[in-house]
Amino acid sequence: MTVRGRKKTDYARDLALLGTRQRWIALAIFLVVLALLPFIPDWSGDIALRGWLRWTNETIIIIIAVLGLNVITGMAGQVNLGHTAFIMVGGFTMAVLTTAAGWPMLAALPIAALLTGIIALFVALPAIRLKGFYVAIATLAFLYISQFIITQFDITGATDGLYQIPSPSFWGFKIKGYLRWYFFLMPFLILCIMISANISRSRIGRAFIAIRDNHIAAQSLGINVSWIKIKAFFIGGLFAGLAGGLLSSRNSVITTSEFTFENSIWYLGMIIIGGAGRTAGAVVGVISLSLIRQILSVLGSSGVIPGSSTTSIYITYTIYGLAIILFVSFKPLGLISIWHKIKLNYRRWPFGV
Amino acid sequence: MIEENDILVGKDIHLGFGGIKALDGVDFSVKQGQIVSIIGPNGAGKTCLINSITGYYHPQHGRILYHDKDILGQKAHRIASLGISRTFQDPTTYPSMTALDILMAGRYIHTSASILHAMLFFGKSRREEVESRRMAEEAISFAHIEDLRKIPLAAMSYGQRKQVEIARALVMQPEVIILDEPMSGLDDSMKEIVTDLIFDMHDRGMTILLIEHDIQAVMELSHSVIVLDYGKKIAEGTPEQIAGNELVTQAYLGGWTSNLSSL
Repeated sequence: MTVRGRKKTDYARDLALLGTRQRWIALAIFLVVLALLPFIPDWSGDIALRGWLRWTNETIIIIIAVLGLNVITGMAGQVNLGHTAFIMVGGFTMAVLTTAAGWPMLAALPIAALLTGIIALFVALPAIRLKGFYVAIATLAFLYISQFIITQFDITGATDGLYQIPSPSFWGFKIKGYLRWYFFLMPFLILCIMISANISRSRIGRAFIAIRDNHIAAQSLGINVSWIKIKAFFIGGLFAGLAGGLLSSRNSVITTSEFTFENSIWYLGMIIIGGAGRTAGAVVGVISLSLIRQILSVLGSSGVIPGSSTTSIYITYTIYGLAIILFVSFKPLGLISIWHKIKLNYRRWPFGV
Repeated sequence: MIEENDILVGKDIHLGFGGIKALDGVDFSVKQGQIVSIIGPNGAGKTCLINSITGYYHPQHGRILYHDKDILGQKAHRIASLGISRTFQDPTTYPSMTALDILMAGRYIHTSASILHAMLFFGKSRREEVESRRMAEEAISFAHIEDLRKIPLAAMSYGQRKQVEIARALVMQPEVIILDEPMSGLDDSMKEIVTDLIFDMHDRGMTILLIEHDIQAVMELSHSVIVLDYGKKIAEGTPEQIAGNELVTQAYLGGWTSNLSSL
């Protein structure tokens, strides 16, 4: 069987993410598209550019967070219903450090990520002893416990939340407005995608997948299953904390009530529909589900969908639920598996389907 | 205490689950570079014994010495990193991973790149990946599974999965390799391939502990055979001694008796 367009002469080349010239070209085109994306005019006139960019910025932050969930749930197989709480912890860390302690946003950001990682690590402790369903419940408990704790202290704004969280600024150049935020967020997104891809092609990524597939056999590879679960939660927490920090700075306000259980479910759905355990799957999953949600909400608010404003929300949920059921039963490897199949068929053509 | 050339020695191993005695005072010894087989009827305690050696079960009493060091009660991942590698009877270990991924994962104990290295994929992580890949390719050509490299385990046939499982144990570069029924469910040509693999491993100086129901293969391969029945060792010796052993023949009343006497 001839394999098209693949001439790799050493293993380092074969391991590279961008092993071929075509891939470099594809990346260059992609980056140009990303740079031009915010200048594409909107179709719905009035809300125009702003609505579109606001959605894009929000989606970038969600992708970063979901990449973390993808490590915990997609790769390591630990169902995490408390991911939104990790984002919340990152967000509040940012808020407290910048408002109460007066740190600059950029200094608080790595601390937000790191602290969330460390807290996630402690959440993993019950997961070591528990399996499957029970891990999900433990993480769910963490969501409610963390919300409760945050609302108990004045420094975290009690039940009112925190306000006037500063935007990042570079020597007086303030990141404000959707366009500047877009270009501020994009490097973080690219970095996180790269990190996620690196994790999945490295020693630790394979250990995650090994314990997901078979945690008993994985021990015979010399993998300390408990320790690897902790590491998965730690890495997932880093992503979520970073996303949370970015989110609270962008919104400039944060309250515990924005971090709902429902969000956690959305995030899980995103990795299921995109393709659990794969970086590209997580990205595709977030974009497609967020896009559906955005389109339906635009249609709802512009009156295309009849009925009250909540009608479009219900339609969104129905589509979401249906999509998950259909994907789990017919495409359990997610949207990304369709792309892999197309690629495989192209390479094998005309020898097989 | 431990005889010269003995690499793995079990002494008076007792393993019970509630009222059931799975292993009842089993002794065994494996010499460096030998192929030792454990045979016995279903439920005799063969898999219990290797689960005890590899740290999956923790016997209540006894000692298992590996190079003079008592490993009984140690965790499974610890024992794997000491150089005792095993395969599983059911070869569907990591269904979503490709053969290459599984073999690369088999290099886990020989690599040590940290999370930070892995995230950035530079320096140590990159070097180790290239080295792991080289070792994985070696195991691939050793086990003749070149065409399975990028195929997920779930998409392979049973026999192919068995081959991958053996290659996986091999890529870990163990001193002792424990094979749990590597030939069960295979046809004759596949059995021959696996037999050759075992001989090849032996030629490379590995010590092999084998559980197998295929008596012919056992007799052909082994330097020494241990026979278990009802959790007790009923015989130990060369294949010729075992074939002539009265107790063994009794334990195998039925289907296997004729098999044994025909050898």
